Amino acid sequence: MNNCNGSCSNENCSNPDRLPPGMLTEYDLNQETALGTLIWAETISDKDGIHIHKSVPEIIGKAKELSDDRLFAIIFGSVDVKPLYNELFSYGIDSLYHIRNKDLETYHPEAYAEAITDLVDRIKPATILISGTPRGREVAPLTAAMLQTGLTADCTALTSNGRQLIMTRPAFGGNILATISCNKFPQMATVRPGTFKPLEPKIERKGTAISRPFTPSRLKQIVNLENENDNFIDITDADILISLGNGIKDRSTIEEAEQLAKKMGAKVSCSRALVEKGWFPHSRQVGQSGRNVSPKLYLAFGISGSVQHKAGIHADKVVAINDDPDAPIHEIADVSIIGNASEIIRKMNSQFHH
Amino acid sequence: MKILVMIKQVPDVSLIEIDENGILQRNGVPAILDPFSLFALKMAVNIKKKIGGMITAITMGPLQAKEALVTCLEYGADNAFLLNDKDFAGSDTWATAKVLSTFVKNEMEFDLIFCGMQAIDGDTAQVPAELSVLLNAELASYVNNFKMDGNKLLVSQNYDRETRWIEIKSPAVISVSGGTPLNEGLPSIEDYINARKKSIQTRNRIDLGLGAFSAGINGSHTKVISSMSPILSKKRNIVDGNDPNAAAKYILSLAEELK
Amino acid sequence: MMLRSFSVDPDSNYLIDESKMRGTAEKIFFPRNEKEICEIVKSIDSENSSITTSAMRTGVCGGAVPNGGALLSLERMNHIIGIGYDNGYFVRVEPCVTVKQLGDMLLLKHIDGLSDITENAVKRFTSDSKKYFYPIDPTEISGSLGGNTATNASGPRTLKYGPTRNWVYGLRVVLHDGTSIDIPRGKYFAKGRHFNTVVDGTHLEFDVPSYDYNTSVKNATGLFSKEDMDLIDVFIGSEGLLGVFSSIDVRLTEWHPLVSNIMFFHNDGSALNFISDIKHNRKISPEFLEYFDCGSIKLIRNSFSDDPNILCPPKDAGSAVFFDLAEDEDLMKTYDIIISIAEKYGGCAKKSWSSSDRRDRERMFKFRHAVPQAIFAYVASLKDNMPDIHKFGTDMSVPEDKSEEMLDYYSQELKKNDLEYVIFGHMGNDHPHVEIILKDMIDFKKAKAVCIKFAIKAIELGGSPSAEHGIGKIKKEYIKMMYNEKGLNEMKAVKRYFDPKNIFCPGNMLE
Repeated sequence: MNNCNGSCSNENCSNPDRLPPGMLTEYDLNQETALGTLIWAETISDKDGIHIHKSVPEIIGKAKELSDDRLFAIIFGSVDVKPLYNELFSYGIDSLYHIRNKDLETYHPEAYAEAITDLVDRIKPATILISGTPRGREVAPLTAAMLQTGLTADCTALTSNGRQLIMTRPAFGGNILATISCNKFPQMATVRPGTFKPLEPKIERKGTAISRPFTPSRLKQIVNLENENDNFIDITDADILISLGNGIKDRSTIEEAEQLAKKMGAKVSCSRALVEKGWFPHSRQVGQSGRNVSPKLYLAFGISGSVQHKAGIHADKVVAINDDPDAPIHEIADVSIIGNASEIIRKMNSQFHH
Repeated sequence: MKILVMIKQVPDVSLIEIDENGILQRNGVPAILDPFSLFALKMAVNIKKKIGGMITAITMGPLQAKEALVTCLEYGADNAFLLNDKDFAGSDTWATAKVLSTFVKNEMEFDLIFCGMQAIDGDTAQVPAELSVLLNAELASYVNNFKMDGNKLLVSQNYDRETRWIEIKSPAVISVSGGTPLNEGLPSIEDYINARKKSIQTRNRIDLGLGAFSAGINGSHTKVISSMSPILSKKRNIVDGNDPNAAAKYILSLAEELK
Repeated sequence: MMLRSFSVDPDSNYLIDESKMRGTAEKIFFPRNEKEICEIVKSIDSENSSITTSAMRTGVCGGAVPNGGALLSLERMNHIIGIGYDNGYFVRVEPCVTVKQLGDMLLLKHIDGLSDITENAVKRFTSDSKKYFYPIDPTEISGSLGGNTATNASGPRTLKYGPTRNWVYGLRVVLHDGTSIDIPRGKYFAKGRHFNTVVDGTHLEFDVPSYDYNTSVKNATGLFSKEDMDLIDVFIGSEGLLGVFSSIDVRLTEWHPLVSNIMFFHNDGSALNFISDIKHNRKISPEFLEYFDCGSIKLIRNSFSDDPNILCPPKDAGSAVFFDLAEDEDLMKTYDIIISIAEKYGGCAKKSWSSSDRRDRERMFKFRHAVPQAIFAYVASLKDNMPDIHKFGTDMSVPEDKSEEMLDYYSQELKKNDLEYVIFGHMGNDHPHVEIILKDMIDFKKAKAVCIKFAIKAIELGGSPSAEHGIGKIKKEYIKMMYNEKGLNEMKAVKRYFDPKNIFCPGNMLE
């Protein structure tokens, strides 16, 4: 058992560390050829067609900042995806691999992970970055397990030390920030959407597109797909957020806040406490296990400001309205208003003339 | 139907505070069964009610994690296992998945494995997927509902913008993101008493036949280099909000400035 | 200027408390410490105006609802000051520290910023391996300790631990002239019913009422009085009439793990018989026994069906009994006894909820609190059309042997008047609450009349018409009923002594 490195697929082997059949050989840390960054260019389709997920340019920009080595991307879809090539090149992708398989024009997590794993074997990147969308956070750990490498989820900061990636993420409900490294190539990380700002696209940039066929070993049995959940309001693209926390004792304040938001062109978000109370769906939650938001103005009404909540706020200006002058939210506030949050919302609503 | 539920005992993170030195105050914070693990267990119990079977709760953790296993027995698990060894400490998600899958491969047969989508202390949401690869099982993530269609088991997956119903077959790992409402009701006195009659067995690293470099810090591919509390200092403007009218006016003027 | 006051809107939440009675005020102060309270009191006294003290405004008798004048909101004074040890631990708190806040601090032993009230007390507390808690647990856990002290509040655990009075160890009070005095328990006593003593340089000489204050049942009616009484007890339960509390010392007791349980029965009689048998069985001693009649279970089901935080009663549940048991080595034997008693009356081990998990236990407490919560919300919804309405519930206790007679009298009179009602609460203390579900102002008038009959009956049977909620502005007629003109005048004399210009909480209790 001690001499074996567990990389053969002998079914009769008694080594519990052996790889399941069909798995790739392990990568060696000293492998000189591990170079460059691979990004999954996740696409979304809506009534206007197919687009690159808005978080993808964010991680491309960051990858360019971290390293001058080659930037790869993998994209799935039909010929309808071809118009997106230039956009990806303009953001900085050098080589784009387009997986051509009819079945994979629909999202199949294990198949996507297998395709990425198969590509990794070909291009041997040092790093794989995937956006922390729901799909991304499913494909990434599948891929990491297939590659038997380390994955750090939901990073809020990335730095590099040569080819080594240094990843920072919140833990313990967001109460601490942990800095993490990986001891193998490829190093993998998922990045919280909205964490980084994309670079300005340069339309003259060119890249190479390679068509790559791939046949997965398994596909999902999809019975039904329904798009656009009704409750789902995207708080990540609001300019102004009216955010409610546990200091809001009266549920009727929510209605006041929604009316006010409509008048102001804002959206209503909340802290974890109000999601747990059932007052808001999870999609409205700002924070480490909710959403990263980067509005121009973040109004925190009755939010105490746990670290896991603060971790999700990347606003230009934060105003904290709270009757507790010692609440931790004030640490990140540009303006602190010590007062009764519910009353102030009501007054804002009645004062609004436009 | 043989059902396994992977659970985790976590500190109640809503009660964790940071003292003035930036040190995490973990002492005295009570430990609870992770709420996502409970969603997973409840879904397993509901499936068992429909198609029958046995539910085994499993956790990798310190000895105190036994309390969480007792809670699982109260909520309807039939028996439980605690995978406990000092060598398991410091495991990242890969090492955790290794330990869990090794135990399962050694001793358990299963049709379905339920896991909470993530745990409220780590929030990594990786173990279910890694487990599915190690056990060569299908993965269903973000599951918040299920139904039977004849003999077929269908689960609903919530991908935020989209909901999917897929058919899953044994062997499968189901990562549960929600589901049963919190106000459903609690285990009964009978459940409380019976839970204390059911068995909780323990296994250590040697029992699992794992090498010292297969688990814990040594079996992990990711390592925490450092940690700190993100205390930020900002130059801030304090406004007296005792007069709500004046405060409201002020905030609205800030919003106007943006235009 | 430290004394900034602010205007109050007529529709502000500062002008109501949980009774939903609405008052008026010209301005509101937010003192941050005792010094500021003293200055405010002095200025009010010199203006010949008045102040009404409020903290979390969870009272149900309008005690915190201002009657003109100014409102003194203590919401900024919400810090736990420190820990002391004197044959047991005590905690010093500012008046707006809530029951929940204190409970959380003790559970986690988070002693950041806490001072030593006695030498090295904090260190002793943190290194003590045992856990401690404050046993008075009104189900409204967001209530303040200041308010609890002013009303001598009780909770389910009062069955085992007594009311707030038994646990208040020290008090600092700001008097009408802006001076403050420190009153530890056990230092200043009356001789007979007469006080003549110097407290912190302030000379106090006055008489306490001569009536017999009923302590054999739960009682919060009127000012406490007894022979050779402790000065601190004059202030506990005084409903804001004599001064403003600036800090309170409360004693703690040792915590032991508990299992919370709710057992369901088919009808009211079964649950009541179950409770009676449990009380009379010497082998078991639950922490408390709380009763839900069938009407209150239905009320919870209907009011909170889409609230994920309130447990949904099982479909076939009629009535229920909520009780806590110590999680010790006798627990299984205790359960055997309890199950056999339950089975006598149609209950069983399956038809119940049980947990030692902290969060699940909290859910059961929230379930218990859901009954009054539903009533308050319902009454609040009627307020738009009927602005004078407020909730009508009884808070009456009787001696144990009169309990059944009182319950019969309740249902008899309510049926006679065609009023809808639910009964729930501290059956362990023979002190259930009867809440009348009002439909209109006609019901309101009837309810008022029938509650007076209840009060008379409760007193007749040797009980108290206000067992824990206090008098406030809503239950003033009980004072005369229980103590006659003489008793009322004696209380007024105490009030006049401590507050000659009647600046504190006008309208509470005595007028």
